[in-house]
Amino acid sequence: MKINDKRLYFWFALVTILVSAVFAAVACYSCCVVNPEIKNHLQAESDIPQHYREAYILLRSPHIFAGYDRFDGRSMGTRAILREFDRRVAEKEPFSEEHGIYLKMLFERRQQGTVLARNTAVYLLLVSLMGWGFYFHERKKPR
Amino acid sequence: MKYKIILTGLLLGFCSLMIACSGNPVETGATELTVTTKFEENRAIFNMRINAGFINKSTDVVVTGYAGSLRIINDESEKTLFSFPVRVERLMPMESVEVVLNATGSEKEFRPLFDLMAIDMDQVIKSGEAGPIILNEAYVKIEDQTYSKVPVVTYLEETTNEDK
Repeated sequence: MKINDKRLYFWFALVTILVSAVFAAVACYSCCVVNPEIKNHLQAESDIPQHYREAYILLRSPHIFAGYDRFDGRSMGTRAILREFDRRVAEKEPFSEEHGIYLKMLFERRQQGTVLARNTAVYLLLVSLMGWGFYFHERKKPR
Repeated sequence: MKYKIILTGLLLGFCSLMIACSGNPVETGATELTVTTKFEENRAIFNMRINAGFINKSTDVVVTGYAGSLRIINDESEKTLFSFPVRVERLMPMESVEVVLNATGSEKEFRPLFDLMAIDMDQVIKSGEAGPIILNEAYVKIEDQTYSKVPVVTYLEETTNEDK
């Protein structure tokens, strides 16, 4: 069976650009909607307990690239933070300014996830462009 | 033929996903047992105290209304030696809760347990106490588990909304 290179390049380029678009959308939503909202809560100067509680609930829904289901040695501290803050919100204990540093750590993790999503989208876009390049080159080739 | 293969693949993938999502998030940790003795009308009465740990292994699910029965069994004959109802109101993600269970009984009721763990009963009566002993996992069985799973974000939002 002869492999049809043209079709192969086309589908490869199409799939990678679609996956890239999904990751770009996730990164954009996180960067433009969720992250600024969390940042506003964390920078609030009045009613800190309420703002920190809201920020934590937003942070508790993790970024797809910075989930909370796997922990390596470096992020074991995150596990302890989640355990303590989950309990704090469930027991309706107020947050104080001292907790800001831990919330910022979770926010940093989320931002890293956003950057990773953006970089993955760019990488896949470049790979896709390469695929399109090969595809058009193949199309131009005389039969 | 081609479509059958694709369909089977999709079905298998879906089933695996459902199995992965429906797993029991609650696991038991170490079960510790302490037995004390006292005498009533010249008869030894045994009091057993069990400290059983229940852990929510999930990172994003809150377990509410957890109930089950903890049984101490003879792993060879599968015979239940003791059975305790267990109830935990709430287990937050990655949280572990210790449940204390008590049972009192006569020599006849406790003999199979001591035999199982190769503990000299007369020695326990003399010293007045045995343990704490970590029970072998094979001797502990959790059955009839019922619970509800709530995504942690939903649970926290509901808790917050109660205040408003």
